[in-house]
Amino acid sequence: MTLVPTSRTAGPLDLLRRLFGGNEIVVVLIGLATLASLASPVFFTQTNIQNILNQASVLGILACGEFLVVLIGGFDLSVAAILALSSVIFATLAPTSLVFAALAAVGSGLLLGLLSGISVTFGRVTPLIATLGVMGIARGLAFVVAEKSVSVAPALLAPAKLTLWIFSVPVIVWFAVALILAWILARTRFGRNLYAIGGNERSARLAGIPVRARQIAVYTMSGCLSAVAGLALVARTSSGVPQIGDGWELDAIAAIVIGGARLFGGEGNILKATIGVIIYQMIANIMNIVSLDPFYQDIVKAMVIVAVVGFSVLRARRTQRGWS
Amino acid sequence: MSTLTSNLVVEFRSRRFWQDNGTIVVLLAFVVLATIISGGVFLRPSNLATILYQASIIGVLVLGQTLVVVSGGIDLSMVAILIVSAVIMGGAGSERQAMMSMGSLPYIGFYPAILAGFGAAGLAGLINGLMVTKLHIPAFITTLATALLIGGVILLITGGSPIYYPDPFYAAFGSSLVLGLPSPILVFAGWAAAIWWLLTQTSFGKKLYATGGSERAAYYSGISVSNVRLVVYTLSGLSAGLAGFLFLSRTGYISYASGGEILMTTIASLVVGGVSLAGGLGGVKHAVSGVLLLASLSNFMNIMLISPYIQNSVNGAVILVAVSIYSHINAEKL
Repeated sequence: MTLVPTSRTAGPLDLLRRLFGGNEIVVVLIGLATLASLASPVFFTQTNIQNILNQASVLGILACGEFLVVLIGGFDLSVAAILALSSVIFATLAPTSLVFAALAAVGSGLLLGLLSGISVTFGRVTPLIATLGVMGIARGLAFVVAEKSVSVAPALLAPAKLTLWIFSVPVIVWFAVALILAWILARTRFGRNLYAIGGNERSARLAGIPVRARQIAVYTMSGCLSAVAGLALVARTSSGVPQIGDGWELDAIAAIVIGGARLFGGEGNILKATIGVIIYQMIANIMNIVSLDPFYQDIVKAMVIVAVVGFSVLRARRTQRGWS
Repeated sequence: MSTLTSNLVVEFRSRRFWQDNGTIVVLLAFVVLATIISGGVFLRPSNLATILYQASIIGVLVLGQTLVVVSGGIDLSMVAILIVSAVIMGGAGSERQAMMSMGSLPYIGFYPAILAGFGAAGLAGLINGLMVTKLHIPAFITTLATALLIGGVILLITGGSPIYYPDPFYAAFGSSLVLGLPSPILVFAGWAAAIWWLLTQTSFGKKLYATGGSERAAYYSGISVSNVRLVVYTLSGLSAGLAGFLFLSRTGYISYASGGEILMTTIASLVVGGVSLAGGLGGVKHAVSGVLLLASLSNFMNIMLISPYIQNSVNGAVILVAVSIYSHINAEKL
């Protein structure tokens, strides 16, 4: 444990930052894509790019919700379980009415997110444990709704299967959500409040920001977005699966940290987080293209997560100088 | 009013009493209630033995987790470590399994396999400790990543196929009785005694509580916070290894996908027992009473024929309620 206060010296990172104005993430994206195209001719084809975006869309929507929670200094471990619950609710009810099914699914996410928010604020439960509890509740309910996966007749989902050039409906929803949230975060009082809460909760409270209300709103939004990701999953795979998404909460956190969000709140840009998701999915895609044994893929993923988060923690310690 | 009763009243109204004994009171109340509702079935000696037997695997895990949580961390990789050590003990320790297996796990002999299983468990814990202390990665991310990594390793060494034929020793151990009690219960009791001794009777225990109470204060008092953490995560890994041994004894089967609901149950037991997740508070009494309360609850739901699927939800809800109550009780501890 080092206690030496470090002064900020210009390292290679700062040089990069000055050169690209904080948009290094785009450079990483282009660099990685170039490398991948050199490694395999398959990579830069329309089908494969479409594939990456499609696969990334579910994680991307999850990551949008997770981003808001991480921004205010929390964590949400329940996102993947809520996604699973929403997918089975939607798949079970889809034959009656698509709209009703979607509303019911998103409603379940809303209630569970609200429960997280109330537990964190009025229940004084730390975010990690509150959302772990909600994760258990959601996962159990998913199995109560359907013990095995429920498939939906593809014809029923026809409207969700349209594609616009390389953009499928889930991808469009994902980008729309990211853009709307980017606008909210940058241009509204609500959005600026979230940065303040994540930066320093106590000062935010003393500055008159209704911290508890904002926290509840954020957890509720994260629950809703997780449920929307569940809908995207059904649109993509035509089935709702109660056990799906094991570990996706970690994927979401890793992806947004790749996108430069600060792990302990207060800093980050949701559009960069979105690029982070694409990069994360691209790494998985490259491993598939070069046909790396799937058994090794988990191991590589774990290492990427540790490297990225470790780097982010180091950076936070350097800029904050002090105890972490 | 006699002084005894007034002392009792004072005791009951103190925050300290509920911090220390809240769960035991709830446990006793629950036992009475469950006995009445189930018409006496709950309190039969055979049922109580079943509860303890089921609690033993979770209990060993929770005791290891208690060390980590008291030190201010959390270990979400325990279930993965449990599986990998059981896979090694069952797979590498059985000639028959090695012949059937699709993976790369060789037959190395019965005792070497047990050693290797515990070795792997300790090593995994040590890796957790190193990542937390040297790289300063938050404990829950470290241990989730380790769980992912171990998951890959399990698939790699088993080729994805389950371990069906562990050495017959495990089944025999699982059903053996000592002093009329199944052996796994005694393993649980022994491990509880060992952890109790470590926490309350040694200077390491004092350092552990100091680290969890305030890392900074502990550091400035000359405690090597890193070393405490390293030992704690290693012991947590070893606990998971021991739980793996018990799991194999109880089920005679282990696979990549085993134990999905165990993690949730261990965290729930811990917080229901009143071990503070903020660190520095709680001990073996809390851990064991939490384990027994949740095991009784789960057993009672089984007796009442409530779907096992909903039990995960119940555990989740119990976590929220229990942590909320305890953090209100503990609120003014500072």
